Amino acid sequence: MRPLTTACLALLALAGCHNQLRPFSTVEASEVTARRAAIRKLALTTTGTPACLELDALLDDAVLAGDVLFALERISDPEAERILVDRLHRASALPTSAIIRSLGARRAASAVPSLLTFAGAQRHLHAVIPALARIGDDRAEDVLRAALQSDTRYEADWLRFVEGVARRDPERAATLYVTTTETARLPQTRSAALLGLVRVDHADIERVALLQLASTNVRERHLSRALLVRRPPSGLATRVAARLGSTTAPMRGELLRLLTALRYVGARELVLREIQLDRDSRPAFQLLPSFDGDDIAEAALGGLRHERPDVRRAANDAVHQLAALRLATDDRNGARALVEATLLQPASDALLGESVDLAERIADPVLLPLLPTNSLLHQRVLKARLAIAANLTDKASRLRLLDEIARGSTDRGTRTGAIRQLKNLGADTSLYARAAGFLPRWHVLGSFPKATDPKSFEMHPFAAGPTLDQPFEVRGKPKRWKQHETIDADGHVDLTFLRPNSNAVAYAFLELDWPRAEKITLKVGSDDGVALWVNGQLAHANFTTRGIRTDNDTAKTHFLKGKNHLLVKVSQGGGGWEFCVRVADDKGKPIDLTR
Amino acid sequence: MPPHPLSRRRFLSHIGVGAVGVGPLLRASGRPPVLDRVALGIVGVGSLGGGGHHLGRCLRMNDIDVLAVCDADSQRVDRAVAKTNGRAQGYRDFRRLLERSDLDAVLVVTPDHWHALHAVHACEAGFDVYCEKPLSLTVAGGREMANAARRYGTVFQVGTQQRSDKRFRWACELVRNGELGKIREVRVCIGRGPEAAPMPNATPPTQLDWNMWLGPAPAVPYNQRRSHYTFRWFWDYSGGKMTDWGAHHHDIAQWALDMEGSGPREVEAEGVWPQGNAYETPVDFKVRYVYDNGVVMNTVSKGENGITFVGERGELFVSRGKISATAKELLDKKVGTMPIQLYESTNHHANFVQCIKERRDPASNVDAAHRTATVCHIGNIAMRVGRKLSWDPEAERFTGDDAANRLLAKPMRRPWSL
Repeated sequence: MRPLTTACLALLALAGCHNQLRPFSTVEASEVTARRAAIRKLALTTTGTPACLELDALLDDAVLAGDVLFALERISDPEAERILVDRLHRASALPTSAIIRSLGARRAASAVPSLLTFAGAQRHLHAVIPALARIGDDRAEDVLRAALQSDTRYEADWLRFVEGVARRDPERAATLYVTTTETARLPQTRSAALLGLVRVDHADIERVALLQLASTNVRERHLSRALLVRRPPSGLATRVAARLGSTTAPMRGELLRLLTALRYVGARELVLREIQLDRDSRPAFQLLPSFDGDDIAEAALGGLRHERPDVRRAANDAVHQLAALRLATDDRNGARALVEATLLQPASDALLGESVDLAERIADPVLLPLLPTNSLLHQRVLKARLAIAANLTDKASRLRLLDEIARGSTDRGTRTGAIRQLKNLGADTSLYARAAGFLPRWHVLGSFPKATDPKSFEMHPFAAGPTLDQPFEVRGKPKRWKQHETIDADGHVDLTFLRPNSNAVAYAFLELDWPRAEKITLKVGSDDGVALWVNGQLAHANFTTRGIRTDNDTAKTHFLKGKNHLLVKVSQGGGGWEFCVRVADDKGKPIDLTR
Repeated sequence: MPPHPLSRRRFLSHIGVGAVGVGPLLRASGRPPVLDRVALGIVGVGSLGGGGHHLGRCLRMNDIDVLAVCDADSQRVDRAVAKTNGRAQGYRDFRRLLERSDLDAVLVVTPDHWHALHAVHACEAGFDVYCEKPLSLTVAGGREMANAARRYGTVFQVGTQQRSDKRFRWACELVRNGELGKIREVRVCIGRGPEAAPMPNATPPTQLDWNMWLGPAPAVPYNQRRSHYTFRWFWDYSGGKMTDWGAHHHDIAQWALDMEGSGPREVEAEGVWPQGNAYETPVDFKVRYVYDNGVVMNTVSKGENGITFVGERGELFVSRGKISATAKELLDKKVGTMPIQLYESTNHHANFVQCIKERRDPASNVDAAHRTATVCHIGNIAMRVGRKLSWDPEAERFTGDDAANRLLAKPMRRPWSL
């Protein structure tokens, strides 16, 4: 027996004696894993100096030292803290930084002098600084301040330290927060310091926030503006408006945004004036959707012809937003007029895509010929066409358009939408799913109590095959197979209509005529698990919890010439409950079932 | 979808609205918020993060760009990158993802033992955060996350998406408005924990960086049972059913009871650990919580998944897809029509994005989620120590029980630390 095992056994015996622990059967095993588990258990129950000393002895063992450190980190006994502090200056199998982090985690105030010594000697700073910040002792302020100024990675530690100071002394913390806004290099640190100032309710918030409004960092500007808007000091808007004329162009944009957010009465005129003067009008265009009126829409449309591309884009964006706002207030004609302009005169391909999306929402047939033929936008255009198709009055044109979408779209939602409209118009829609090899028509029975294990999941109650015309006992009641056809383009059959629809299973059955005997691949998707029988033989089973994806699983099987029976079992935990089956050839290529 | 020339960061640089607290102003003026786009990184792209729930949904949303994905499993990274048509950059180390300056927010969809590290570092890097439930692995970790979010003004959404489900909001409004009379009991059914035969340790799959997957958790040999998805049945990485489904239903219970900033005072529990189960968390359990106002919450593994509020005037049951009451008239008042109305959200992801634009708290804010996770954790701790415990929600400590308090935090394997 190795000495370590002896020590561990002694330790465990000791712990058992002191804490009335059950003896661990694992202790007898010599594997390291068992000893580790035993130490972890001790970490949750050990108290008292002798037990801590035994753990201390194990810190010299390279294999177990990490586990022991974790144990000591958890034990609230002062002896555990003393051992860790003592270990800072003694050799052990553990890196010093690991011990320092443990001391930080347990907020060991007695470690501060040692940690300051390390900091003074510039040793293990990457562990010492976070530990000092966590402990939050005032003696560490100078060291932490120096760290803040020397390296951005310590800024988070500094903030944590100041937060601790704020709990004890808000006024002192305010001073430190102001220092942070002036010293920190990371914008998120400066923003957090501004938030800290708000929390300690400091009078200097306006000055600091306006300074941060001039930052080159977006988030910093955004947050400072947010704070000024949330707690506007008295007379702020008037003071900001007065500064507008004597500031730089970027800052003028910022101040205009602030005035708009503050809902300053003169903001609307100031924004329109900025566009008229055309100094750096991009921010003004971006602010236009914050206001109402025909002159606002006119100004935005005017920007579509601006010579600078960035201003044109801003204007285009503004037009979109104004159109969306008009849609939100049911002014479809107003929205359409704006979108027509951007479809005819797009500022970029990306914005053209957005125009197409808006056209989809407006769904006015007038927009149909204006939709672009850009191949990159093809799928989005098809979605827009689908929306517009619903408003076409000529049935023949509508059928033609929907058929084109159902065949041309690669998006399942768009195809399903087209098929749904086609079905409402009386067309035979099963062919769209069947053309891609999907099986949309099934007989469904359920729901049964959920299978509890993979073995029972691979069994079904229809020994002699399902008899569709006979009722079957389900949860003690006779139920009949229900015929069910899905209009989903990928043949997804939704089973949530069955009751109960949680912790259950259901069956689906169909008979398929096949022209010849051949090897077949069945691609199955399911939410949750699925089992599949072909002509009474289990072809595939996956007892799982998952969301459906078309072609989740693949099963190799073979079909007979003539009638083939497919039986599917789908399990359900909660939420969505559906499945789909696709027929493919031996190589996995989907078979067109309409032929 | 082609790239939009206007990222949120650039957008925010020139838009004057959408600041903290501005949202309500905009709604008051009857004007919807200004359009915008948010650039996202997703840390953890397994079946949840890389599947339809997160990545798929984000890709379908018009105002989200997924620009970065990260996972310890390179196969999953490749799959996620492919789903974005190559637009997203793939990473194996989340620290590289957090170095990017063009992201606005990060989705944390990793195993629970990583949540605190990922979320706190994301806050410190200046990103807004959507973190999957349960918020934390421990009470201490949750407190760190809530503090970091407040420190940095982070918009922090937690994946307890039942808050964005109308039925649950309706149930909570009925309870809050006293439609059931005084509440006596809340019954929470969250399902049994799984059982499976143990599997031998093995060499990790080549695509999986097992050391990175373990991260702050203790070093152990690779075992398939401990890895993807089933990690949730091991104490080192999660809290079993209590934190898996408990995070959802306890959240609704706390919301309905108006206990979002507090929690129960007492907890006692018993669990069943069958012999030979590969998993560590209990299969069956009963947990009894008592709140200050005398309300008892019984959380059990058996029964129909959902929450039952038992009041003086009857019982109300709510689950995903179902709401019912013992008397029909209890459901007469509809959601949004009663004097006390709760936070309205109908789409959790959209709500997150909207809150980023408006800089306001989302539907499942980090403080409430921390309290919910705490309810789950203290239930687990009561089960593990096997005695009745007295909980102090203000101090977030057990009263007079050192052994139980030691389970409120877990040391992190070096070099990881907070």
